[in-house]
Amino acid sequence: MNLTEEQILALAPDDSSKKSGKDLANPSKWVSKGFNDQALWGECQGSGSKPYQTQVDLTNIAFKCSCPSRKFPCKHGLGLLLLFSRQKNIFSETASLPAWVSEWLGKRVEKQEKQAEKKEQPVDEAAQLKRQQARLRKVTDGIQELKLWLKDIIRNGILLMPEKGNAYFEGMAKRMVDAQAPGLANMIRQLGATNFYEEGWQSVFMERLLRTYIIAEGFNNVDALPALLQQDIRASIGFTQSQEELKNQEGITDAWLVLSKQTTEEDNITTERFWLYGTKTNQYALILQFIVRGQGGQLSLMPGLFVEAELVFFPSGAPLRALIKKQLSTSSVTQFSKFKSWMHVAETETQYSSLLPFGNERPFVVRHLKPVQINDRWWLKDEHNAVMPLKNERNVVWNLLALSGGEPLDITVIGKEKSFEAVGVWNEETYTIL
Amino acid sequence: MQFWDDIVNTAMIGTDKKQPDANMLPLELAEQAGIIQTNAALDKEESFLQLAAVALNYRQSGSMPVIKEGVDIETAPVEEKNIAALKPFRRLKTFFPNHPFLYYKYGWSIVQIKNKLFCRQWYLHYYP
Repeated sequence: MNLTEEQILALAPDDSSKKSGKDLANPSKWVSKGFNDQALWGECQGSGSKPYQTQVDLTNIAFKCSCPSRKFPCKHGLGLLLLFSRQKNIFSETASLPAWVSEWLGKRVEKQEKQAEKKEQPVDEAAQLKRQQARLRKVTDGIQELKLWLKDIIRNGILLMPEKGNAYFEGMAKRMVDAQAPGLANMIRQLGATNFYEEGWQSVFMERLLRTYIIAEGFNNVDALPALLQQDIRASIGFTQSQEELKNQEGITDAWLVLSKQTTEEDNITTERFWLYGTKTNQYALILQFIVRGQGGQLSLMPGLFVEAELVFFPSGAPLRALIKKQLSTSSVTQFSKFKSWMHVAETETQYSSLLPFGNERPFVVRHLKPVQINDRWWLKDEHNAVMPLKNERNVVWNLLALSGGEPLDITVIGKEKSFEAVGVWNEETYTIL
Repeated sequence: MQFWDDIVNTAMIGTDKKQPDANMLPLELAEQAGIIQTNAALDKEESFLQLAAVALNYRQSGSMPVIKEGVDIETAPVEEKNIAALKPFRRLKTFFPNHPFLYYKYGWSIVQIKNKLFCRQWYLHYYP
């Protein structure tokens, strides 16, 4: 497995771990170090009497360390992997694993098998039905209130929305939480989080308000909608789908390229969004991982890595969100299809909109894009002179220019309509994170 | 998109002061607009919300990229100077983790050759 420094550092939970990890990517810090096809391991002399035992599962990237850190991966795991990527030759390659490594790998396999075999607990169907009906009533009542609230806004006009303050939106968001519609609560909070200082906020506010209305009204008419769209409406409102049930379904096995990892933090919960692309099936996927502060995440997917895995998609008119049913190994793929032009992207978006009118942003890998400047803004130009403004120009444009040198690049963008951010590029057949 | 601007303008003022008007939608949406406007069960706020929802979907379904002829960027000249290898590049990255590598002064500062990142020799004077 060839990992770049950027890919490894992208796994770090914070900047201080990145820095400490780099400091530990030094041969003098490691008492022993070895690897084989399955794993990478090393013993790092820390402040204690015994060195810390650090190990990395190379098949399905995962870390374990005997240090007391609650960060995940810890600085030792990052340091070891960084050192391995830089100086593989100083690691001894052995067929047999140290006992502590083989024990950990064995437990991981055992755990996976147990999860696969895990049978669902028998459920009290009558009680379950009663709970479902009670929730349905709560959501229906909540949505009636939400509609009145939305209509009030429209009746009085949105002109004075910037003066309303957070409490105005938070009140309705809390009402939606009480109504057991957390998805709608998030949408109300996003509505209130509109940047009212930005030119054109009115349009952004109306888009958000209308999406909320479409979902609320969709729920009121849910029985008349196609089955998959019903699932989208329910998911947007906040009804959850049993992941165990999903994992029982047959998934899609492919060599998935990890296009990007986006991390956000709110109320002590870190949300990691992994954007994937199936190189054989041309299917894009979004994997979400929620991590409570202080706990480690189960998934460690590095942007730029090809992961052989079976994914199961959540039911949707335009499937995107998925979960990993089985992670098989890592691989490398060089040939796969990309979007030919911005027009090709637009046509695909039209198809998605017809299936899912309230869909969110999606990733696209677009061929031969060149950064160009128009009226002091940076845009991405395709081979047919179609241009699209670069949403995150401030963060990425200089790296993009340095890699491009004025030549076109194949670029991964995430967004919708006329708002796309660049997250990664191919250059000389190497995927670089921006 | 005049129709979307009209939607936003009506929303700004509020339906109490400005009645929603189906004519603000494009002709292609006349049928849908007619169905909404003739639905007696809808009050004017809901009528507007439905017209606006149809307009939003029409807008996002027909979003087209802008065509700009004659816009381009100068291609970087072929690298002539000696280049430093990956190791010093990493050291620079360590010193300036968030620094976009002197782009503002020197233009194309990083080149990528054979899957590895290199930087120009003139970086070297940054070493201690």
